Amino acid sequence: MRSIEVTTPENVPVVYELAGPGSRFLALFIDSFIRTAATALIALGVGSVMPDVFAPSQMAPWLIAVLIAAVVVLNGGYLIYFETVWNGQTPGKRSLKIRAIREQGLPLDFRAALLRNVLRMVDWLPALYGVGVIAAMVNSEGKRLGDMVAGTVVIREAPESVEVHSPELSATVQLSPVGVDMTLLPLSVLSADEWAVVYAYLQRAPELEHQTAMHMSRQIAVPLLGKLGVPAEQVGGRFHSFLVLLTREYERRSDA
Amino acid sequence: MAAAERRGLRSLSGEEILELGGEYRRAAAGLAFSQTRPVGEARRRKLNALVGRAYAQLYKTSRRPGRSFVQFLLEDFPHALRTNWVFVAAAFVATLVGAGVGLVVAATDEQTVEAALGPAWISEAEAIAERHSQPGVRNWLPDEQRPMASTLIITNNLRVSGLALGLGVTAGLGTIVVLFQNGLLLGFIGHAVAKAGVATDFWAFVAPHGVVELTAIFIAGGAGLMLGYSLLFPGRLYRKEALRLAGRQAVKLLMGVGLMLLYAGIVEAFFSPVPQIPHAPKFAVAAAESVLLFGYLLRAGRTGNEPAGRLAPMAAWMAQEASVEARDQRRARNGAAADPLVP
Repeated sequence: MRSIEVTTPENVPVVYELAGPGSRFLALFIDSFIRTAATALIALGVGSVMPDVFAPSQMAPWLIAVLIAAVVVLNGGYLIYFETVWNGQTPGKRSLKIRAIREQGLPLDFRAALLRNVLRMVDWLPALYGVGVIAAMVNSEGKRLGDMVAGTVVIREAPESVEVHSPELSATVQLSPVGVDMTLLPLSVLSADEWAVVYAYLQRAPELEHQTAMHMSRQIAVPLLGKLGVPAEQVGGRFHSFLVLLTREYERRSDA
Repeated sequence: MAAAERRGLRSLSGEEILELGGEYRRAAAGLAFSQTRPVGEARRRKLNALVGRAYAQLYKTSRRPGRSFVQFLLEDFPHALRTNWVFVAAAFVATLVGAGVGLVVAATDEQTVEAALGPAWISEAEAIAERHSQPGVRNWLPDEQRPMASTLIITNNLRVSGLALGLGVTAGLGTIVVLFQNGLLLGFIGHAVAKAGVATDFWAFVAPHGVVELTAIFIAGGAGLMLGYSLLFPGRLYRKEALRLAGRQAVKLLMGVGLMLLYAGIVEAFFSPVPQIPHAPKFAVAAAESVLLFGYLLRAGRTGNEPAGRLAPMAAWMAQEASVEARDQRRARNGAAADPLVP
């Protein structure tokens, strides 16, 4: 999965996954369908209310002109309108959970939406987005010409809520006091790999059976305790709780 | 470290904004932490999404829509145009060359013209000529067709403008072709009406809207040429950056073009073809429009420190972006007292 990275002013890189051509085409298909359906509805609606709309009369020319204008505005302005007010999404894009954003990670504004959609005319050429597809394939960020000129990129939306088994959460159930003063531990002796093991365990702990969790926490905690210079007996067998408190202390010190 | 989820960031109270800022920084710190320390993939992704969303909301520059439209009309559009007049002039020249070629070809070789225009065009032209050969009737556009023609003219002009702009990405070649074709057509028609002896009549029809319409097309063409230029001569920028910079300039021109074409399309259908209005007022309107239009484009929002025309385009664009930004910041500072959200 291709992605881009935006560095915020806090010097923190945020990663956006790029939307693939499949979802982009599908989104466009949905949008085209909606526009066509809306156009047909207008035609049918007017046709049923005034069956003789095309008959020569005093008002007919104006009515037809207004209708054409409405259809043109609907079809031409639809994408621009939605991308502006829906923060880079159209109904099609929303249903496929993709979004157009500016390269800097900022929301689309009217000008960017206008530009990328005007350039659609060229991306469409010679037919069915021939130019756009080739451009997006060649470009490392999957941009069609409109994206290049407007400085935009289409990304996949992050899932609304990621399941995170936070150690704090799982701990509330079974956390019991351990006989160790966490604030005095020399945490720096633990390596990144060791922390990775601890976090990996805590994330999976809620799914584990009690026996397994007991066994695993013991297997992980005992070597760490040895490295920290704490006798394993001091924890009193509550290795899971110890690991939770250990990560809390670690994060507390990192925050400070 | 766990940051609170928060949605609907646009309508927060001042207090909530401050709180959000704090939480954003904590989440960002957490994200940075998660990227270097192994705290689990799921958590890193969650923070990534959270920080991304909060960042987008906190750092976007907001414009007040109503105000920025007036500002666009009175400052941004004419300013951008003056900065890029060279390109608009080039688009004008491309059209002019096309018109010249069209005139010469039409005068020397009728077959080519007919082949170039196609049978549909010829029959339409003959129908118009037919109407005009009848004494007393000099109506370029029958009454009942006017509303629809207005819509179609505007639509078509907008499409051509968009295409002229968009085709700029072919290093400007596509834009030049579009402009040249337009000019060619103008040359053919110019010759045809002269031959039919209705030239004055024709130009009286064209002038009232043509002044605005053709200027708009030149501007759109100029915007396309800017995109082409940025790809050919990006200077010290990457082509990608140069193109984006040109795009930011071009879109300003395009928005102005849209408004001009809206006006021209209405005049073209409801004023230009009206046979009851004699030639003199039509030409007078065209002259007045020219004065107003060019006065507006050349003078509006002028601050005296515009580097227009003296700098190479890349530098001029950067200077223009910078001056707009500086202006907005200056105004934001001056207006800060009235704005409760600015601490």
